[in-house]
Amino acid sequence: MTPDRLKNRRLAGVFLLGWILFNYPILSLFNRPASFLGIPILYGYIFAAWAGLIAIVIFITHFGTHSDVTGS
Amino acid sequence: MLTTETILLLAFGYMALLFAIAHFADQRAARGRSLISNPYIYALSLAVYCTAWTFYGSVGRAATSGTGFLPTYIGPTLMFSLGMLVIRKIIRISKTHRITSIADFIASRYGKSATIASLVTIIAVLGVIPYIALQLKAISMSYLIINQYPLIVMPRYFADIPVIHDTAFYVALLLALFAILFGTRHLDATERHEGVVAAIAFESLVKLVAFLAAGIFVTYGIFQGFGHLFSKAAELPRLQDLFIVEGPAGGYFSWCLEIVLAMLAVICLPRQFQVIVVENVNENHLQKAIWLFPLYLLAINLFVLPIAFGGTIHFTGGVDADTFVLTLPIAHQHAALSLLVFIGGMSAATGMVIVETVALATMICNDLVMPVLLRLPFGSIAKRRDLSFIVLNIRRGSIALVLFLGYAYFRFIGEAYALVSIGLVSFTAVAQFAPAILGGIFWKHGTRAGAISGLIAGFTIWVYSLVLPSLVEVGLVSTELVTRGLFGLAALKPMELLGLKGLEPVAHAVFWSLLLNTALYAGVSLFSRRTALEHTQAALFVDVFTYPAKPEASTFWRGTALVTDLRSLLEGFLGAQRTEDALNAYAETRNVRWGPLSAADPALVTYAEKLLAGTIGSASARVMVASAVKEEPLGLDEVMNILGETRQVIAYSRELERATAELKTANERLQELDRLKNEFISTVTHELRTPLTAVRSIAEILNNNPKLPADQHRNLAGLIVKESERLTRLVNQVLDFQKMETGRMEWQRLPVDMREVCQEALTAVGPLMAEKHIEPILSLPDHAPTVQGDRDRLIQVIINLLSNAVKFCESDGGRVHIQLGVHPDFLQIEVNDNGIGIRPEDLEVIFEDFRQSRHASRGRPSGSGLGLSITRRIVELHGGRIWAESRPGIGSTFTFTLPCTAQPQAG
Repeated sequence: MTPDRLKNRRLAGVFLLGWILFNYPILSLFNRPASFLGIPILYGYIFAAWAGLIAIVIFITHFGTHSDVTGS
Repeated sequence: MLTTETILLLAFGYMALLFAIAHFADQRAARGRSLISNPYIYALSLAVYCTAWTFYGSVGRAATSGTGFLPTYIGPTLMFSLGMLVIRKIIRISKTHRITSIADFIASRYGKSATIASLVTIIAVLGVIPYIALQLKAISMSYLIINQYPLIVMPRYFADIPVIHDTAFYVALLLALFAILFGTRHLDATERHEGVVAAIAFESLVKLVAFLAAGIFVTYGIFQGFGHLFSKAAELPRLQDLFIVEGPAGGYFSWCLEIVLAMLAVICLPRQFQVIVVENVNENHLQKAIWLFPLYLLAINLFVLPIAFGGTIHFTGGVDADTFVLTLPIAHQHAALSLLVFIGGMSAATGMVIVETVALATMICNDLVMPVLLRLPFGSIAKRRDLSFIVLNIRRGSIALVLFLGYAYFRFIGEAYALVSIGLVSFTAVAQFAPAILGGIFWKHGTRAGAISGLIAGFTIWVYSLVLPSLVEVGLVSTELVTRGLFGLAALKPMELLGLKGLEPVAHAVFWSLLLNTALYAGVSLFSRRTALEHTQAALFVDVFTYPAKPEASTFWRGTALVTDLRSLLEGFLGAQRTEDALNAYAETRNVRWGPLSAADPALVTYAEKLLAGTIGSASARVMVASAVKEEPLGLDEVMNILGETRQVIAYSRELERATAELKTANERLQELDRLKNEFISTVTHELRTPLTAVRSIAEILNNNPKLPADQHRNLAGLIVKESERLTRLVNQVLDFQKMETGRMEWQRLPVDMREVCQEALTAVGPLMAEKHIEPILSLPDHAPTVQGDRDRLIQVIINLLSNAVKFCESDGGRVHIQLGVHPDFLQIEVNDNGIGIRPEDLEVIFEDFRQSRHASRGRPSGSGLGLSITRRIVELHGGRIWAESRPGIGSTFTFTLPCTAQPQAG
């Protein structure tokens, strides 16, 4: 149970991180009519942050702990 | 060239494929080899979230507001990162209580309330019908466009097309058939539909592939990659604004509110609840779904902006941005891709319609129709044997009704709206369930009254600020309402409530409705009382992970029913065979046998209720079971029992700890008493032995010397008398003490003059003092009020104190002073001496039983150690108190008080 609870806390942390990344004021830092490598900076940022969050969730659920993931 | 026949053949061929997949999955499930029992199919089925709105509408929105389409998909990503905390809990609760719809979930939480169940169902139906209409509109629109291939002609008004020529009508009919065939095949306690899930997982795959193909075609086929496309777009002035989130603060807040809206909608939409919770095969699948589903959302959104920009660059006007996904391949004469996109859009639309109608039909049947039927006065329905047939047909009728309403909405109202806005309006309606759900699973104090108030308030604001303005646009409501407000009050303008400006219409409605909803839910909950059943359900929901896995073990039905009654009730819904199986399974696990007249125990009644809840919903199941069981109200004892195992365990362990601590102190106290008693016995025997030895030796002297002179003889005899008196006094003290301890002492209650008491006591101790040459001083007032009490005992108190003082005074020069002071409410008697005094650490303990002050220079003091203890008891029983003050070497003062109206108490 303890590894599960640890995992759940980490996932709650991911939620908070995502909430901050996708909202004002962090979002406003990228809200500029500029582009990076030809891609609009806001568009590029949102998808990069989104992919990053998913990667963290994958890491936490499958590699984060040594616990047996099939336990209920 | 695409002929109409090709397109229709493909469309209906695709539908046929869906039927085949569903049929195959159902067959596999019947053989016990589930096709859908893996996390990937589960995650794909969740993607029913992406509808025609995603497929066509996102591009339309992106073309006008840039990244504005994204909150709808970021929200679910965030919600699923909380999946293991929130969604897993909802799944566990639903599986434990056999909950089969969102209405059932909320109703069950708030005391299986039929009112809430019907309220939620009504909101869901009204909120979601436009959303179904949106899907039908997308199918109709996409067909009309691709049918003109290779020309690009925007369909004008759908109303011009007769119903019999409208593809959407036939698709709706087919969808109704599909939903009826695979959604209402039989009544099942779990209400899972493997065929439906397999089909929509397949549809999710199709729409993703189709959209990605279109995106890649636009980005790399029409343009030379992202960089090229975006640099072209940057050249167009009307696209430059789309690179940023529009507007200042309002823009960010609208964005934020839309994320919240999507977070809530992804669990509150009836179809999402159906696929996430009801159709879930294994809770562990969620573990992968919490990242697979967001990954799907990310993939399907990747090309939205490129397609929107590509379309805007390519078409200079006259083409609806909602259709870019389809019109761009058509414009480039890419027939195969156009068809793939058409099928992809259809899969997005049909998947949503199928699941949504099945979910809504379950709710309409279980939470609107059945409660009414079961309560009908003639009552015959509850006694019918073929109830399952009735229930299934009600569901089939509900599916047809929902699709009919959706189609009607699309034909008469839906045209005026873009795809996205209809979807967001639906989201806002279902988001009203969120406070009741989230509050319900984390907060035990949420009440039925709170949930009802919140739902009604949120729903009212939704109707007023989102639905009414939409009716204005189609001319059903006067424009005055929006421009000037209700009754001409500016504060009541539907889209600027209380003058709140700067938010987009949906964000505005979300803000006010959720604010009022949450505030009323919490506020009313705090001021309303819960029934026993609400208490039970609240505890079972909030603490679902701590309760035993067998729910019937933790719930309480108090009542009497015969097993045969329950059996016939179940047979009506489940059929004879499945009822038999279910009851046998129960009997086996519990190891019971039923005779023809056996009474059902509460656990069996609960088990039966759960079985029924799976087929007709918890509120209806309760009504049904109540018809068979004569229920008695839940008593306080039962409610206390419900508080559950965990809390009991905690309480037990706390009680155990306390008991252990008590035992420990008691044990220490016993040991201390034991030690003191031993000491007491040795003291008393020692004290008894001294006079006894004296008596014996004198008696021996008298015996051995019969010729002693007369005066010597008399002296020795006097000594014997004196020592015997001392013995008697000691024995009397021990007896007194014992009497007082056991409460057998008899007390008189008479008015006593304490001045006389003091004098008498002094007289009694007089000889003792004279012997040691101690000077007695008596200070008495002229008048003193009497006290109620036992005169002899009070004399004993003063004698004890005086002899104590005498004991510690030096012979010659000793002085003992008795003083009686009169205070308004009490008398205060002081006995003061100029003896050796008492050490400060002994001042408290000398009044305790068997305690004696030890003085280094004097060794063990004489006396039993009971004198002061007895004294204290007498004083306290007269309602007074006693204490000692002392300065070693100078003297001690013993003081006690007696209330003037003292009532000696027995015991």
